[in-house]
Amino acid sequence: MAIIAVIVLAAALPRLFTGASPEALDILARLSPPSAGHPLGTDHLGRDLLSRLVYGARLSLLVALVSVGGAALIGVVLGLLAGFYGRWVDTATMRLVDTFLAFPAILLALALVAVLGPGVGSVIIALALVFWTQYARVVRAVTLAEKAKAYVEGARAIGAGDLRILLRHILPNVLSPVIILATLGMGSAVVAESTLSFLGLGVQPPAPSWGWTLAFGTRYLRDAPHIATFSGLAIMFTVLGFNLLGDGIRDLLDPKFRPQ
Amino acid sequence: MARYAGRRLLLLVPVILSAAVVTFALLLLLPGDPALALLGQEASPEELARFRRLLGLDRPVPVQLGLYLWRVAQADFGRSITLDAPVLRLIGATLPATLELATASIVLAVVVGIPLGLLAARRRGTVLDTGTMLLAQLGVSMPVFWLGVLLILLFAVRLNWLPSFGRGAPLLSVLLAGDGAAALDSLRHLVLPTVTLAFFNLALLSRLTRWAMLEVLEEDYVRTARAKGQRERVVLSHHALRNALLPIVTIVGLQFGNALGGAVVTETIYGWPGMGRLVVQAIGQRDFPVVQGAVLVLAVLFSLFNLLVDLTYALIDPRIRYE
Repeated sequence: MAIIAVIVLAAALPRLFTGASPEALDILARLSPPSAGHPLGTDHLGRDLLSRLVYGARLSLLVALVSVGGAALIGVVLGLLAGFYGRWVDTATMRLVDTFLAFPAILLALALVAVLGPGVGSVIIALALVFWTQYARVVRAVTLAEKAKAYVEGARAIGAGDLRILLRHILPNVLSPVIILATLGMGSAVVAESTLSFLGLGVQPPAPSWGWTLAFGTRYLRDAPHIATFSGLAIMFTVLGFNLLGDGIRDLLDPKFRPQ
Repeated sequence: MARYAGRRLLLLVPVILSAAVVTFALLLLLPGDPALALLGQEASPEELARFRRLLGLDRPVPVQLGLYLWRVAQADFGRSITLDAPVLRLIGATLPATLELATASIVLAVVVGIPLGLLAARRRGTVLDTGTMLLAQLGVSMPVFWLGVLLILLFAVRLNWLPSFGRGAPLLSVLLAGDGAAALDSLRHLVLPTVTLAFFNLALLSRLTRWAMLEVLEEDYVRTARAKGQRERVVLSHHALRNALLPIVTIVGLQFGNALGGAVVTETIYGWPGMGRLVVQAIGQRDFPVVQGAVLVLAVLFSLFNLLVDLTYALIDPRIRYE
């Protein structure tokens, strides 16, 4: 929780952490190791690495939040419809899920970004299209279980329509697993975004993407290992934070995992 | 079992067919004219027309799709735009390297990850348990490409112990030929990419093994076995481990499929001449026949491994009967 709090704070209020601009060039100070002026050193163009990473947090969290939100929205809507209406709606949705699951996730994301072109928008669309399947499967399963319960029958008996039953009665019950999946999914999205950027297909420079910073850092491993090291640490701690937060929320919301 | 396997194999056909439709649709997603998008603004009208004919882009979309599926059914993925060679030949030349790397990484993950998980479960609550789980938590949080960079930095740049780029001779063939020096060279090239690709799976496997063992150790039959006075080693290996294996086998199978996807990143970092690197290079050069062919072949392999996992269920767990 503390890790995520620091990263969210960095994304929201970067000036709390650094006064330097992530774009300010200082060619004379390029590839400098950490010092008092530049606590994490500088990159290949002499830009302050701390400020690149702090402003990069905003970019990473934004991409992760919107892509996970998009994936959850698609998955929840399709999962609710498939589980509630069954028959051909269910068959069609599940075949679509099978089709998407036939591809290794990062490969499908790469192929989608390749056709959509590099950039923030493409990365968000690609990740949402890659990650929606897990939400659809879980929401469908919960919906199937919930719609067979007496309270749904009761709601129908007092005249509630399909939309009301879905939104007022079933949706609140699918939210717990969706929140757990989404929190864990934030970590995966941060890694996926930085992987795409690392391969040169994600967010494009001069945007301070962590993946890009790390990719450039690999070119200067011998002379300036601090670039790759610190940018990697930023990604790892963010993912670690979301994984731990996801585990914590799961323990809290899922009685199976609650400590006795 | 045979009937179930046959039915599952048949069910794979629509999945592969729809995966082929997705790879075909990739070309349709290209903004604007695909020929212009792939060849660039400097292409002459004649070149564009020739290119459209080559890819069948001058025909209606349903006809293009039909032709594409027909060609794919005959394992004809077209020709590479930049390398001027059949895509199938490029895939054939790079697939063995990817399979070698994926296999080596899974072997490493299993050989290290499962014993680590067992040890952590056996010594629950000790420093060893905490240390192993901390390592596992780091392993699942660490981006593959960063681990690769760190390993290169330490073992190739600083210590100069291992090569950081390329592949030696195919390991299996030099082992079969009994060429010790070549085998050593291949192994040296294999170490860093294998560790990089294996680390995430290894971490996941050790966490899962620990969890599965702790679940099973709570079961009544384990208590009964202990009450009968059986030695702890026998209780663990004969009663607990056998039953904890089901989720572990599932994950190992799925991890092999994931390793095929993960190879995209690992191969790019280490210049490993496999299919993952082929895809990344093809994307960089906008060589779409190669992208489509390689993505489809990897998806088919991925689906086949997932099917194998499901079939393994039935073999190792007699409680599961498929109708």
